[in-house]
Amino acid sequence: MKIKAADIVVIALLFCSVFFIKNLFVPSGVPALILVTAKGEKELSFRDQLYDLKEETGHEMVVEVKDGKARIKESDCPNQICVLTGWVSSCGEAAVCIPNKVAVYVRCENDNTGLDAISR
Amino acid sequence: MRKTALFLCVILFTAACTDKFEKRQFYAMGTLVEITHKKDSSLKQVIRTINEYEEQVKSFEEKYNSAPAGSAFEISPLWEILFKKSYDYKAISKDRFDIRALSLTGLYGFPEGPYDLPSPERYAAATDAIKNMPLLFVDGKLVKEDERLRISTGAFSKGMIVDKAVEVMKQNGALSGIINAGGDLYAFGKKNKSRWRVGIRHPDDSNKVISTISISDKAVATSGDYERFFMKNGIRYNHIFDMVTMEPASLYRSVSVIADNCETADGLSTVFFLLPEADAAEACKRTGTPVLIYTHDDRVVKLCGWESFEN
Repeated sequence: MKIKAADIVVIALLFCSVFFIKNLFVPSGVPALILVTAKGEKELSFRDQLYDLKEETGHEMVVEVKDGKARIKESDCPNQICVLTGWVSSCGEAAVCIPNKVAVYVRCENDNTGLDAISR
Repeated sequence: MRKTALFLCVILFTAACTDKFEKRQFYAMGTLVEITHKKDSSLKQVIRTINEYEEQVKSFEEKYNSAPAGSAFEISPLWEILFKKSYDYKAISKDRFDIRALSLTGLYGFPEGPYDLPSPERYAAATDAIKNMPLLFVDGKLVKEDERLRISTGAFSKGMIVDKAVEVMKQNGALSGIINAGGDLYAFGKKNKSRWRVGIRHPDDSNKVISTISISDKAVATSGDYERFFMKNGIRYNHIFDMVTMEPASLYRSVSVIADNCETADGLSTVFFLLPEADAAEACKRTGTPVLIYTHDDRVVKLCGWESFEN
């Protein structure tokens, strides 16, 4: 069987449509709420809830999830930077408590900033 | 039928072409470290390397800092390098950078807090010790002359450890990835045939960037006054102190540096944070490192070819 010009056109069209179809299967920018502690990472549900981290971290810390946002509500660290950070909700936003090794951040599959890393 | 088969083949083929990376976050070096790596690679050894070097750096610092006057210390090969680097940075910064800055900044509560101003007596004693007690090596041993002397390599050792960790990643077969230790990062190889895109954070808004660069096999590090600082009587005390004036450095909001390795980027971002614009412009020519400065009046200054990375 010989390849006709039409076949080439079809193949080219298929190639182009692949990218479109892939985007249908790969959800783009679905946010996940990630809690990082000294023990590792775990995903939190976006359901409204209070998480007491006393057992997990040995520190007086409370993480609150509400209306699709999260924050470190209470912490026994000296500077309260993580508490003052307030609510995090959009891709890449984070509340970080370095002394107690606790962070809450929003991770997105392919976050819409198009950046691979941030230097700060 | 055959067309459908071909169609599926094409889809699979194209999907296989794009690199799949994932991010892993964990705590080390007093910050949140983020490693971007290929999905199927193991990071166990990389993380172990980071922890081991961190321990080597920290244990000697703690030993020296808590020792009484007159103590003498053996210097490990790693610490020989760290001391040598600190002298280089001291020279480039015209003595504004000093490995013994912690003798003073520690009195304010840096690096971890809680923060407060020291008493005038303690301030005077610390500045005195830094000015009059140079690091003294006798027969290859470091002698601590004054009890108030404390050292910290925090300004550049994090970058050095990132470099060591990247080496391990490469030894394990990684061709591309990023190790980002709280903003000091090294990005190697490529992602889907293009360079890695890195944003420089705006000092006043963590969701904004002041510059976006594309890099491959390069490091970027930033020093700023917006992460480790406290306010007292309307004055901002940030964690980087000028060892000539003995006051917090207040020339800029942030300084970022691109270099061939993370240790250099890390150290020089602190050094240029301490240097007036003209001196920084001259020094970065000699070090061959592009620099981005964000000033107090919201100007973005680009030196030594920073623009060539912005595309």
